[in-house]
Amino acid sequence: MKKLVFAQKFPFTATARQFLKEENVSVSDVGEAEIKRAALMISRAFSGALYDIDIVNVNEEIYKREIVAFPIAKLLISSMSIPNIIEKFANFIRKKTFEEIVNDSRSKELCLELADELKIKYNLEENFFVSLPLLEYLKIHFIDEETKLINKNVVGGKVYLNLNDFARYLCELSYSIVFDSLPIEKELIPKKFIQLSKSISSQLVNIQQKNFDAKISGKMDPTLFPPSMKNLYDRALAGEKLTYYERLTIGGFLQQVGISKPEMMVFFSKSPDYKKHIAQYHVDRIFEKELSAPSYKKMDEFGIIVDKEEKKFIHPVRYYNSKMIIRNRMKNSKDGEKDV
Amino acid sequence: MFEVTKEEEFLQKHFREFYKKNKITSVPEIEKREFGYGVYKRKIANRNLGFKTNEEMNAFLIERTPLFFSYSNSYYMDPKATPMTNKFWLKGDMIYEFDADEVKTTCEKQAGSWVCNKIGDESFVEERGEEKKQWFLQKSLEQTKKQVFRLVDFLESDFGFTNDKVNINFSGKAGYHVHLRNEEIQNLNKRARIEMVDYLTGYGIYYDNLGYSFDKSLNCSKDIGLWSKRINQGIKEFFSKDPVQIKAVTGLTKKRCQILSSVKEEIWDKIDSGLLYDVGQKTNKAFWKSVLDYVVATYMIPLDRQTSVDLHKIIRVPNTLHGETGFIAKELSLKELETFDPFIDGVVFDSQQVNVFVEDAPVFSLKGQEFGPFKNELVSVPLFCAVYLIGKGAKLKE
Repeated sequence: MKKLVFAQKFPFTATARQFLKEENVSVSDVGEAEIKRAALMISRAFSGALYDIDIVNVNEEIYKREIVAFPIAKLLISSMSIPNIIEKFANFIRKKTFEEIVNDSRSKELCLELADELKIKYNLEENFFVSLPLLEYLKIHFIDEETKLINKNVVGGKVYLNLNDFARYLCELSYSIVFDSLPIEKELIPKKFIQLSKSISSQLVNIQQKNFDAKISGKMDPTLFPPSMKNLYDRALAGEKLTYYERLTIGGFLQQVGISKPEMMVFFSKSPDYKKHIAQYHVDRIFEKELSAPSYKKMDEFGIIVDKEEKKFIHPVRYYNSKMIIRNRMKNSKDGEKDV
Repeated sequence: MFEVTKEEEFLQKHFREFYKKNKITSVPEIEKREFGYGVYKRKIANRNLGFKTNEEMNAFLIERTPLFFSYSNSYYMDPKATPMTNKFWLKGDMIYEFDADEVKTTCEKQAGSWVCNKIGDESFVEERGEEKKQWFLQKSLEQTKKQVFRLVDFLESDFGFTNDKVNINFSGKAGYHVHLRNEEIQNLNKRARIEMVDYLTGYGIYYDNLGYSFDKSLNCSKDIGLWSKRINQGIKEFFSKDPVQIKAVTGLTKKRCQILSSVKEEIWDKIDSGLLYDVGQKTNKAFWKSVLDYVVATYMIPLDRQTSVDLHKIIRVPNTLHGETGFIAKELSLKELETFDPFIDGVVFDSQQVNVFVEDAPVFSLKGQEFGPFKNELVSVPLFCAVYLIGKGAKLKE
């Protein structure tokens, strides 16, 4: 049972793989429950929301289900075309690993067990928890800023870590292991998972868009955006990398139609090459200078007009305003009818 | 193709003579390296070259005689292939580059060109402006050399790399290159290299992680790594400075800075006991932040960040000549570096007289002889000086 719990907590380890082998788990025979949990893992990875198991009714079956769900999630992710989904999933595992360690009453022991499992060359230290050779420490991705080398005790080629630092290091390693193991070659993925992954992908993108639309509702209505702006808006929210000019265009437009600075930051955070400080700089500039979207003439030069009809207007904001006026008139007339 | 001027022909002729007499053998695993070369006033005109052997490379140097010759810090399966992804990266030396123009110095305008020879003024970069000609003198290169020794100290004390893993060479113009070729280091990816550079340059430091706090409580780091030791030492040195300098960094009034200066021993004692001096509840946070930022900026290693993390950069081949100075990019041991003077030890050409027309040049020294200033004049100078001046734009006169 101890091994089973460990494998469930850290499904990227050799212990988990060994369990799957011993249980003769075949990806073609997995049940609906495991697939649902795999889909939930992906959904949580995508949204950044917390993922946990039912700790009240936990039993052996639930642990097994979780262990099996992990490789299924990897198969599904490998056939998805959502940008950054691999990074998000690896980050999800990183966060999960941290939660598992800090929420366990045996954090120290668990850290050491995981370190042994991952064959880390650590030394137990008196004044710290452990020390690692510098080059061993440098193997991680440094996703968590708390792991930055400069903020660690580095002496003579060794990095000295307290328990919290070591837990963070292990989490970063879990990120690296998962990230490096993806994507799985297409030929190895059963067809049913390819179909399923497509369905999950489209649901995730829709949910994301709806969530964002809900946040900005009342201020603006994306359904009335000019097609070119809607195209940029949808692509950005789907995590596609826009060109510099496209970002500036949609950024200027959203600023003009009433988005707030924090909302614009969230909007741009979907980009696969998102870097907070760079995005913040550009968003600040857009708001400080009150940058507007370019005219249709200019947009035409850059080839980002998707519907020729738009060119009847001088500027995308005029297009949007005209649609808003029509929508409001219709709404008012309907409200008027109700009053009567 | 590039038009060859008589100045370039002149430089090539003498460079060729040098390469005939001096075989270059400074590139380990030559068959896995990408090479590039430069022409007159253009350091990299072509790259994606490769050589299977030292003999092949030396034959190229004699036959084509480039004025600048560079190689990749990385090792590739197919170094000549393009684009970069087709080369298949195998591993990469870690190269830290120091340039005099990265190290804080000031430049004076002499005879129409910038001369960089003073230390300690931060206005250098801005003042330099668009000026193309730079005349780095001994002092600025001495300062750069000091940074190499500081880097070696970081590499040894913090990273645990011993001297035998460190190779140094003069860049041929205004700096030094430090190469680390240990196998484990060569296999580090870009992220790891960025972390190491961030460590060396003090980038991303969180004072609270190192044990400093100056918001509600006033604590100073104790025994949390070598960076905090450096910072504590730096704080002590800071309060030994003139109150005017303390004022410039902290923005406090002159009177308050004089008071702080007078209680420096008390400040030091507090640091030794793990505390920061209380300068006033409202002032503490901004004050200590500015002091610590200043100290980190003083103690960090001013590396060329781009070179240090770029896995596909090409850099001067050690022991080849630099087309802008005619100096040799000499390989040096740490011991040799102590006494190395580029303006004497980097000079390889002899003293036969050559006539050149110089638009402008400040006073400079080569091989212990002083030259200049020159302003729109025809001068007869030794060959090593003529090469140096032509590299900087002087015209050859028969």
